[in-house]
Amino acid sequence: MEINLTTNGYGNIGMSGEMSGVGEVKTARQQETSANFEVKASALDALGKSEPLADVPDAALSRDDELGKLVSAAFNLPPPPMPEFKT
Amino acid sequence: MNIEEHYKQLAPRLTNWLVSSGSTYHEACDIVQSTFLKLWQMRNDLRDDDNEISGLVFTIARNMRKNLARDKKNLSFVDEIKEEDAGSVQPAQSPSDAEYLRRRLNAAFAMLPPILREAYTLFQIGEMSIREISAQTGVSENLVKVRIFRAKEKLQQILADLRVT
Repeated sequence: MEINLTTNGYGNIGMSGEMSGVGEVKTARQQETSANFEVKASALDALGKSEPLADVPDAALSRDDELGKLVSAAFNLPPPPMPEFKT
Repeated sequence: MNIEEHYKQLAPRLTNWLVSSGSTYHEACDIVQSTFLKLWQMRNDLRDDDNEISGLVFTIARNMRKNLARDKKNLSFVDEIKEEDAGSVQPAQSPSDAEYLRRRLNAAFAMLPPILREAYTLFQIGEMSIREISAQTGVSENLVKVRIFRAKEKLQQILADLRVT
């Protein structure tokens, strides 16, 4: 596959070339942009910031599902004694 | 509700939330007691609003822990909670089971993005309402729900071998 990029002197870019086989053709700029999006998406996901704002059904927020019961059972430590509140 | 009643209601939740989010049991106990002593000092300025008190208690505790971490510079996610630290803990099935579960869950919480971890632990262990968490974290109630939901999804993946759904 060969792609030729030309400019007409006014900032416009022309592209010509031939392609054999089946596939997606991306310019270097498109590839860079796409890669940037992928990097940013994964970084946001790692930070928990790629948050869809779809409605979450209340049933999905139950504290009494298996996970919730497990967490509640594990974190059942007693509090410290109440301090003396004196004036 | 007076301070003693608030203590009975909130101290267990706060103690366990602190342990679930990185404090040792002893640190958590110190922070809980200090938090309520501070609340006692502020008693004349408090409004009798349970939601407000709950949010205030968690905020004071969180700030105390930040200060403690800054002073000690040794706060990390704990996966070494000795059973004797737990005092008269009522374990899930046996002491070793509860200790093992806490270690696994603490390790799993540590793998979550901080904002998901915060939302989930405040909800499940701190037993705060969606509205309280929204006020506490400064994001919409809808976003709080999304964060809890996503945290649960990730925890279920991480803890798949425990077959939690």
